[in-house]
Amino acid sequence: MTTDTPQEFNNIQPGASKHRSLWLKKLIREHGLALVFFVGVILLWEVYVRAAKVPVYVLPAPSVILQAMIKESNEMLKHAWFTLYEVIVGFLIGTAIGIPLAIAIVYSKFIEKTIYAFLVASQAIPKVALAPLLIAWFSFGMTPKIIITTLMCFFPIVVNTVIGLSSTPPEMLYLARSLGASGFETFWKFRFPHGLPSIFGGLKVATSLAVVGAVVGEFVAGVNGLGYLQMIRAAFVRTASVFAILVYLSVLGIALFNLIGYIEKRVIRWDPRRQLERTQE
Amino acid sequence: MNTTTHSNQGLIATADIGDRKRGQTVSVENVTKVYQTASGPLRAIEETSFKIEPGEFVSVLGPSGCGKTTFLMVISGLIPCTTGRVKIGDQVIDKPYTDLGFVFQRDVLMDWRTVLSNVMLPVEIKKLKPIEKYQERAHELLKMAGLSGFEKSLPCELSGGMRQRVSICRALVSDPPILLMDEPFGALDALTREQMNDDLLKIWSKSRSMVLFITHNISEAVYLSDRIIVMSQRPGRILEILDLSDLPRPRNIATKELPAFNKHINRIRHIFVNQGILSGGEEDQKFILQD
Repeated sequence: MTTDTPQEFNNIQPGASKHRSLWLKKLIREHGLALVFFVGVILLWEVYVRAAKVPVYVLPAPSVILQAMIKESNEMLKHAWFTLYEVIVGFLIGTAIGIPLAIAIVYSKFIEKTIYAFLVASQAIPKVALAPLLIAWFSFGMTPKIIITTLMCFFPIVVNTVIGLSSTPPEMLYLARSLGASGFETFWKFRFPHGLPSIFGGLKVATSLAVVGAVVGEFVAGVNGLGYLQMIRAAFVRTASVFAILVYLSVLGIALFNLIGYIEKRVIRWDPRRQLERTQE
Repeated sequence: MNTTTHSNQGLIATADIGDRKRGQTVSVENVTKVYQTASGPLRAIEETSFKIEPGEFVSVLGPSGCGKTTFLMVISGLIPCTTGRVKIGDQVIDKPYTDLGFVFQRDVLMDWRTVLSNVMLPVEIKKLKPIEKYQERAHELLKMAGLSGFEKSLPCELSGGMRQRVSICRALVSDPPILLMDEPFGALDALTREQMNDDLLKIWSKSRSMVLFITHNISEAVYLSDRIIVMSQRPGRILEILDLSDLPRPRNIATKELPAFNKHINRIRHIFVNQGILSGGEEDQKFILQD
C-alpha cells in the first residue's frame, strides 16, 4: 500500500516520464477527491459572481483574484518576505524557549508549580490584545511582530512537549533504571524520542498560530508585510487584492505546516498511533 | 564485581557449555512491602523469605494483585522493601541491580529503534565491549528466537509475539546471570503463549541463567519451572513451594502428558480452592479438599 510507494519509486529510476506519471497517480489517489471538491467550489463561485453580477468590491470572482495575484505579485512577494521572516524567527524563538522550558517543567516540581501554572493562567489573556502594548514598548520595527509571533506559538509547543515527555510508560523508565542508565541517557534515549510525536504535534499547531501572530502585529503597527498591505488595500476597497493577499498568506501557512510535516516524517519513521494505543492500554 | 569480564566469560561459555550454572544466589530475607497510598497503608507482601540458586528456573504463581510484581521490583532494587533485605551473593540490594535482564508484560520496545538496535540497548547503555562480540550474540539470539531477517525492521512491523521475543533477546544480550520476567506472555493469545514457552526454554537451556518468572497461569508455571512459589491473595505470602524435579528436562509436549505434570497442576488448584481464590465448582461454596 502506501508504505510500498517509496520502493516503487526507487525501482523505476530510468524512465523519467514514467516516474512523473507515477507521482501524478499517487497525487490523484491520495488527494483526488479534495482536488475535485476544491475546483468545484471555485467554479461555483465564479459562476455565481458572474450570473448574479455581484459588485467586484463586495466579492470578486476567482479569475479576478488570480489576476490581482499575478499583477501585484512583485509587491506582494516583497511584503511576503517580511511576514515570512517574522513567522520563521518568531517560531524558532518560540521553539528554542518552549522545548527547554518544557523539559525544565517535567523535571522540576518547583518550575511546574510556579512557571507552568503561571503560563496556563496567562493563556486567558488574548495575546492579540497585547499588540498595542508591545508597539508602545518596542516601536514599529520587526521586534514587536516577532514577539507576538513567539507568544502565539510558544504555548502549544510547551504544552505538547510536556505531555510528550511525561507520557513515557513506567516500565520503560524501570527498564532504563535496571540497565543503570544515567539521568541524561534516560532523557535522551527514552523520554525524548518517546515524546517526539507529541512534540511535533505542538510544532504543527504552532506554525499556523505563528502566521496569525505576525499578521496581527502588522495590522496594528505595520510598515511592511502582508498584513500591512492587506490593511492598505482594504482601505482603498481593493477587495480583489485583499483576497489575493489571503491566498498568499494561506500558501505561506500551508507551506510551513507541510515543512514541519515533512521533517516529522523523516524523524518519526515508526507509527506513533500504535505507540499511543499501547501507552493507553 | 567486574560486570564486563563476567559477561564476557558467559558469552564465550554459552557456545560450548550447555548445562552450566553460574551467578550468585538470590536470597530474600524477611521482606515485607507496604505501600503508602491515599487511602492508607497497603500491605503488598507479608514477611517472606526464600532463596533461589544460580541456574534455577523459579516461578512465582498467584492471583492477580498478590504482589508478584512487587517481588521483582524489590529483588531488582527498583523499589525498596519496607523491612527485611534482599541479597544477591553477598551484596545487599539497596539500589537498582544492573547485572540482570528484565522482561515486562508489555514488550517496552523502543519504537524508534530497529529490532537489532533494541536488542543492543543494554550493551549500549552498560557500555559493554567489544561491541562486535555482542552484535554477534544479538544475531545469534534473534536467530534462535526465529527473528532472522527482521534485524532492520521496526517494532511496529512485528506481531505481539515477535515483539515479546525481541524483548527477551534484549534481556539476554548481555548474558546476565539473572533473568526477571514479569508475566511476559500475559498479553499473548493462548497458542502463541505455548510456542513462546518452548522458545523460552530453548533459549534458556543455552544460557542457563537464573530465571524468576512471574505468572498466574498454572500449567505454564509447571511446564517451565524447577520450583514454583505459590502465593496467596494480597497481602502476598508464600502458601507453598513446589519442587518439580520429577519433571525431566529437556521438556516437551510429552512432559505435559506425564502423571506428575497433572499431579502438580491439581496440587496447585487445590491450594487455590482451599484459599478461596478458586471456587472449585459451579456450586458457590467453599470446598475443603484433602491432600
